[in-house]
Amino acid sequence: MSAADHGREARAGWAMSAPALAAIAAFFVVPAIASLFLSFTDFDIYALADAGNLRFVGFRNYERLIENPLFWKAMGNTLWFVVLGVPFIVALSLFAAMLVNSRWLKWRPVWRVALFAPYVTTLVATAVVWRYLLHTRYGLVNYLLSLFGIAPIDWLGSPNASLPAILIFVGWKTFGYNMIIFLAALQTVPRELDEAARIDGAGWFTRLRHVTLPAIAPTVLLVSVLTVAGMFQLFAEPYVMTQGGPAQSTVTILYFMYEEGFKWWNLGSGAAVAFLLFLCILAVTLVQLKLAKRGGAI
Amino acid sequence: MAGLSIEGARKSFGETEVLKGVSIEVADGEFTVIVGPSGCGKSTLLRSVAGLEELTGGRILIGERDVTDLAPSARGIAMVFQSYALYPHLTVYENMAFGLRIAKADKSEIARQVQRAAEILNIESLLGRKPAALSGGQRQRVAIGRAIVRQPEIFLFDEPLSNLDADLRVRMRYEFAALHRTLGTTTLYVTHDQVEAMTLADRIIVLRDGQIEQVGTPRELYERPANIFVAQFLGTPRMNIVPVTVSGAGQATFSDGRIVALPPHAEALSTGTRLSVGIRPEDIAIGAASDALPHRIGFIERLGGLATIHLHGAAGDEPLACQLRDDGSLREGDVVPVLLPADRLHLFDAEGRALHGEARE
Repeated sequence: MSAADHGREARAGWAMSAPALAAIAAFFVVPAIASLFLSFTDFDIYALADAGNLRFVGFRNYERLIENPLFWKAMGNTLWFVVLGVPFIVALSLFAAMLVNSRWLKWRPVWRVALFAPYVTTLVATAVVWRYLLHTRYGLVNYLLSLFGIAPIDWLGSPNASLPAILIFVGWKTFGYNMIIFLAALQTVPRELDEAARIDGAGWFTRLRHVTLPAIAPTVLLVSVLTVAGMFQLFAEPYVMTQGGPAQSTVTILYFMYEEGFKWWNLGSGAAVAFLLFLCILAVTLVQLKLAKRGGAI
Repeated sequence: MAGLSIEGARKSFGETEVLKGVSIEVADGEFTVIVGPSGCGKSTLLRSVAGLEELTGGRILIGERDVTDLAPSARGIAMVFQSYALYPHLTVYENMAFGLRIAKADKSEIARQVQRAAEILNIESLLGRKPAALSGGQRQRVAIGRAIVRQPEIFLFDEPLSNLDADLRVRMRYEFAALHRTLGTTTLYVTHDQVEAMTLADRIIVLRDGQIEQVGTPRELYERPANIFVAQFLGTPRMNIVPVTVSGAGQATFSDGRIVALPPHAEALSTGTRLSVGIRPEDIAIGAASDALPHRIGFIERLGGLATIHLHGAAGDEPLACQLRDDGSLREGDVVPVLLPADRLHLFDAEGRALHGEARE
């Protein structure tokens, strides 16, 4: 190919990806840069009314955040959500996918729909249902636990139980989506591999560890990255279920940002939170990619 | 090592009965090939022996042991899959060692077994590679190596050559034969390719529609097929089958009234009996003789050394395929005298079953 041809092809490539790039620039790059810029200002409700009130404040927003105990509380809560929630949701999704992928299960399409349904239901409506399920005195969850002799738990009213309660709700709400991704991956694993391992004498767990998981490792990575990002950005569930309570035990970083920005109208400070959150997600994702590369998943 | 007996194996998937009571005896050290068209149940039978499918009825014995209800790994079998089924994230060495490692065998013992198998198959230089870095033939060898390492009583092969190109298939066929001679392990080999069956087998089992059509050595099956199905399944081009009517002692008439001499054991057939005569393409001769039947050459497939010639006799009848050494003298459209030697004819009754005389030389 001559240099001229090459240039023409490159131009065509740019032209074809231009609409998508423009959309990404308009709706992602520009707002991201703008919010980074705003995080160095005291952008608030007065500045909204008149941009003349906008003042450049350097790192003051960041300094204040670092001194704010609620920020650290929200950071801590979010880390718990990530640390507990990601393995929980990934494992739950994978288990569900293996269930609906197994040959002995009857009515597989029905199961698939039933397990995927939570993901496409309205969050607010299901949150109401879950508040009933988690009710201390009349809830089904406590009733089931009572069958095993476990005393009633004040799921949404106790600072120790509220985070697990939200996690259970989030897990139930989101595993269906991951399940579909896992299911697609599982269906590409040749059945002969599993059979060869059976002949080699591998039990269920060994086959999972040495045959299935390595075969779907890239998908496990993808789902983990998506779930980590999702957990860092947890907002709607605590907002609807507990409004961050009790005793701020379910204030997540995004919930904190929402309050900073839209309750107290400290938009500059909110932008600073958003930028720190972005750095956190970026850092964790990079670590995940590094680990995956070392493990040979990609 | 041990022999294999399958007694009245039945298998249904829902309403569909795939195996309809199959009984097979494989002697210790024998290389047995199960051959049949796709959907005949041959893979299901093999997978049942491996323990990957549960039989609906019947028993499977390896040596004296009833293995019908045992797990695949407890049966003393090793299987080579059509797709090789190598673990993609493990090296060749780890692939071959996997079974022993799970069985918690001693490290040095594993190394010894893998080394031995690698030497037999000439793949020592590949032990550090992953399957993705191997060619099709090399993967095939590794899959066989993994089977050898298990030191099974019985090897099971499920169409192991169908994913290879023609050239490699011929070479691997030869290697399979050599390997079996070296190891002497009882082998059950499934294929739809009759050439593989003919060249590899000590004994062939022809399966159709979940039932055994015939069992025998390749030569027996070729020379004395039990029915039209077996006769046409083995050999390329396949055996010509022509309907005739017995018209006198030792002779029969084609639909156009021409007469063909029948082999001696047909003497007893009464006049008017409807038969099918079969003749293999290589048994048809072209040449002048008093009882030659004129045929028009419809089409010649020239294969280099050999040619397949399609001969049109009576209108409406299927053309006869005839295989000859090709000297280039025949032309399409020529009318030639065709000889159907009586001693090369196979006779089949109206149901397609063979009418045999005494064994032919």
